[in-house]
Amino acid sequence: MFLNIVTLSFKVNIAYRFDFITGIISEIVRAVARIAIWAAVYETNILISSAAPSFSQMTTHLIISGTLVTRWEFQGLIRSIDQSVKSGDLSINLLHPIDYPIYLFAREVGNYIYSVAIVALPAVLILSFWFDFDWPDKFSYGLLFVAFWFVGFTIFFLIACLFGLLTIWLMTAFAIEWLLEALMPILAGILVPLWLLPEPLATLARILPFAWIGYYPSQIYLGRIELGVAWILLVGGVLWVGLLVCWISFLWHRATKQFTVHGG
Amino acid sequence: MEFAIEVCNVTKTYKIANNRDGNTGWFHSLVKPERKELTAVSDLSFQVSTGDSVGYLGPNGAGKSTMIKMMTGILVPTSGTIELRGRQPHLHRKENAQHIGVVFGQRSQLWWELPVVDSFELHKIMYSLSNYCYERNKNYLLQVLEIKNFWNQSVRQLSLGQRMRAELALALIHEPKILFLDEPTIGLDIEAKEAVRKILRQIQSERELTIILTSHDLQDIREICSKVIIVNGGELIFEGTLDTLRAQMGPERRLVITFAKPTGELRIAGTALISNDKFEKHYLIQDRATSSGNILAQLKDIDNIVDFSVRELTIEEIVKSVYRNGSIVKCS
Amino acid sequence: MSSKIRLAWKLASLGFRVQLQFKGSFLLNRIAQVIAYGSSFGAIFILTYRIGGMAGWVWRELLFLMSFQLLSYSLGAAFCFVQFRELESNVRKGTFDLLLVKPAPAWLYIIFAKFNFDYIGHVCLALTLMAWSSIHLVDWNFITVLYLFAAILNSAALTASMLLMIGALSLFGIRVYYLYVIFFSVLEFTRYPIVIFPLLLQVTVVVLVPLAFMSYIPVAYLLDHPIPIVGPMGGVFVIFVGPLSICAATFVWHRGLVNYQGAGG
Ligand SMILES: Nc1ncnc2c1ncn2[C@@H]1O[C@H](COP(=O)(O)OP(=O)(O)O)[C@@H](O)[C@H]1O
Ligand SMILES: [Mg+2]
Repeated sequence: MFLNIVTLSFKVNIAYRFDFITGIISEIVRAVARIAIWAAVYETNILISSAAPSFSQMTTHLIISGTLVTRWEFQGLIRSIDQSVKSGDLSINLLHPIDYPIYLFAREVGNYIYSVAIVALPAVLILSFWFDFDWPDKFSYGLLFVAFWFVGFTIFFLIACLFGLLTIWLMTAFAIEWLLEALMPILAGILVPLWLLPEPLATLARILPFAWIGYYPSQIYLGRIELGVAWILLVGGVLWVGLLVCWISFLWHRATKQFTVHGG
Repeated sequence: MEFAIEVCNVTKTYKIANNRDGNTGWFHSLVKPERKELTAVSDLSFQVSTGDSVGYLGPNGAGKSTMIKMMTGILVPTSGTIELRGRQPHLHRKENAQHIGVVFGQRSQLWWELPVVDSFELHKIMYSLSNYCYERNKNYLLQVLEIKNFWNQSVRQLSLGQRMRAELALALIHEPKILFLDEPTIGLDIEAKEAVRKILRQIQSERELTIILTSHDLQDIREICSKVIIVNGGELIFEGTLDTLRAQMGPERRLVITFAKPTGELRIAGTALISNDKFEKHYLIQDRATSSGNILAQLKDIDNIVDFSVRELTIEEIVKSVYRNGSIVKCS
Repeated sequence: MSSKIRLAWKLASLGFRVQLQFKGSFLLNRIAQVIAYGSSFGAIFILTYRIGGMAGWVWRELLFLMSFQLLSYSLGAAFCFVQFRELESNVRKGTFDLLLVKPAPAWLYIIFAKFNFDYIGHVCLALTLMAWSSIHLVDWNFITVLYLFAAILNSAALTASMLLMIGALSLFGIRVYYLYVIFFSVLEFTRYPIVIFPLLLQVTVVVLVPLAFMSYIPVAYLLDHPIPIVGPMGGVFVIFVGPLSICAATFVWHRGLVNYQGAGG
C-alpha cells in the first residue's frame, strides 16, 4: 500500500517531463550563487582558523546540504493539508483504509525520491565536475550519511505537517508557508553553517530539529563529526522524530475532535 | 442600404501543433515542432444590415465561434476583410468596443466574487458613460431583465439563468449598436432559455439593435432572428430568411412513438417512416398541411403506444436536409 | 489619460476586495513574508558581518544592494508577475478573449484587476532597510537622490517588462511556465555583487538577460564600485533601461495579439 502510493506519485511526476530540465538549471543556478558567495569569502583570507573547513569542503557542504538533502518542496504538503481542512475532507480522510498522515508521508516520499533522482542528483553531478567536490572517503561515514539523510527528511516532513496543521487555527496556509520558509535560512545551516552563528544562537540551532535537515547530514558526509558524536546525534534525530510525531498526533486528535463536533 | 457588418472572403486557419506519438515524440516536438493547419472558416462572405437580427447556425466545430471572434476583433482573419460600420475590428479595437456588446454563453464577464453591481460600475467607468446615460440604461435593463432582486448579491450565488440575465444587461449597459451572442442559451434549462429569448426579442425591437447570435439550436433562431446563416465545416451553406429556409428544408419536425410491445411496420398518413425499431419508430412530418389533429386521430386507434412526441430537427438534420433539398441557395 | 487612471483605480480597488476574500488575514500574511525575507537577509548579514565583507562590499553596502533589489523586484512584480503568469491559463480558459472586446487595453485590465497588494510587505521592508543602510553610505544630494529615484523606477519597469514579455509569449502558444523558472533562477544572481560570479554568468546578467540593470549596476554606480563589461557608463545607461524595456514589451505584446489564436478548439 505504502509502496503503491510512492510509485504512483513518482509516476505522476514523470508525466511532467520538461520539469526536470528547468529544475536542474535552477538548482545549479542557486548552488552557483551560494558557492560564489563563499568563493568571495575565501578570497579575502579572513577565515584562517584551524577549525574552518577547506574551500572544497565548504563547496561540498553547500552542494550536499543546499541541493541534495533539502530538495523537498514542503509547500505542496501544507497546501493539501490546508485544502482538506477547508473542504472538510479531513473528516472523510479519517475513513481511509490507510491513515491520512501515512498516506501523505508516502506521497511526499515519492515526490522527494523523484526530485532527488531526476533533479538533484543530476545537478549534483554537474556541479561536482564544475567545482571542487569531495566524495566521501570513509565507508562508515557514507553509510551514516544515508541514515542521517533519511532521518533529516522525516524531520522535515514532520515539521511541515506540524505547520500544516496550524492552518486549522490560523486559517492561512500562505502565512504558514512563509513562516516555515523564514526559519530555514538561519536554522538549517546551509548558506551560513552553524559554526558561524553567534552564540547563543549557534547552540540553539544545534539543538533544534532544523539542524538535522541540512547541516548535520552534510557534516557527516564530510566526516567532520567524530563517529561517537555522530551516533549521539543520530539518536537525537530519532528522538526528535518521536517528539514531533507525538506533538502532531496530539494536534491531530484535537483537530479531528473539533471537526466531528462541528459536524465538519 | 447601410450595412452594420460586411464580411468579405474571410478565411481563418489555425496552426496547431501536431504531437507525434511514441516515446521520443515529445522530444521531436520540442526540437522541431510539426505544425498543421486547420481551416475553421473558409472564404466566407455575407452582409448584415443595420437593425437585423441574424442567426448564425451550425453544428459543433462549424466555425461559429471563430467567426464571432473575428467579427469582434479578438482574432485576426488569415485573409479577407471584415468591416463593422466601416471599420476593421482588430485594427480599431477601442473605437469598435464602444459600439459592440458581446456575450459568450459559457464565459462570464461578471466579477465572480463580487456583487453584480460592481461589474456594472466598472463598465460605467470603462466605457466612459455619463451618470445620466448610465442611470437611464441601468434602470431600463434592471426592469426588463428583472435583475433588481439580486443586484447586490454576489455573482457566485446566482443561478445560471440569473447570471445569464446579468450577463446580457452588462453587455448592453453602454448601449451598443451591435450585439454578438455566442451560444447564449447553452446549458440553460428550458424556462431560462425562454426568458432569454423573450428578453432579446423585446430589446431588439425597442432598441433597434443589430444582433448576431450563434447557436446549434434552431429554436433560438426561430424566436429571435429574422435571418439565418447556416455554416458547416467552415463553409456557408445557406443564407436567407427563415421562410426561405422553411421552403428549402421541407419537413421540419419529427414524430417519435414508443410502443409497449414489439410492433411491425406501421404507416401514418402524411408522414414518412425513417427509423423502424420494434419499440421506437421515427417519422418525418412531411409538410405543414399535416396537422397535429390529423396525426392524433390516427394514433388513437393504435392501442399499445406508451408515449409519443413531436421533436424539432437537430442542427445536423437541418444541414443534411439543406444539402438534400437542392443546391445551396444564397438570397438576401 | 485621466480616464485610464480612473479605470486603473477602479480595477485595483475591486481586485483588492476580491483578494481580501481569499487569502486569509492580509496582515498576518504580510508579517510572515517580512519575517521570511528578514531571515534570509539576516543570514547574509551574519555571514558578511562575521567575515567583514564580500568582494570589497561591506555589509551595509550589501544590505543596500539587497534591499534595492527587493524593492525593484516587488514593484515590478506587483504589476506584472501573477497577472502574466496566469495569462497562459486564461488563454486556455478563454477568459482572455473577453478582455479584447473592451474599450480599455487588455494589458491595463490585466495589470490592475489583479494588482498584487501582497507586495506591500516587501516594499515596506525594502524601503526601511534601504533607508537605514544607505543613509551614511552615499553622499546624498539633489543629483544622487534624483538618480536613486530614476534608478528605482527604471529597475521596476525593467522587471515588469520582462515578466510581461515572458507572459506574452503564451499568446504565441508557447508554454511559459519553464521560462519563468529560468527567469527566477537568473534573478537569484541579482541579489549579490555580480563580480563574485564566473565571467559567463556576468555576461548573462549584463547582456543576455540584462537583470544586472535592475540592481547591481545602479547600486554599484551610486557606491562607486566597479561595473564589469560595460563600465561606469552602465550606471548612466540605467535611466534608459526602463523606456527601452517598455518599448520591447509593447512590441512583443502587440505581436502576440496579432498571432493570438484564441482558446483551443
Ligand atoms: N484556438 C484554436 N486552435 C486550434 N484550433 C481551433 C481553435 N479554435 C477553434 N479551433 C478549431 O476550429 C474549428 C471551429 O471551431 P469553432 O469556431 O469553435 O466552432 P463552433 O463554435 O462552431 O463549434 C474546430 O474544428 C476547432 O477545433
Ligand atoms: Mg462555439
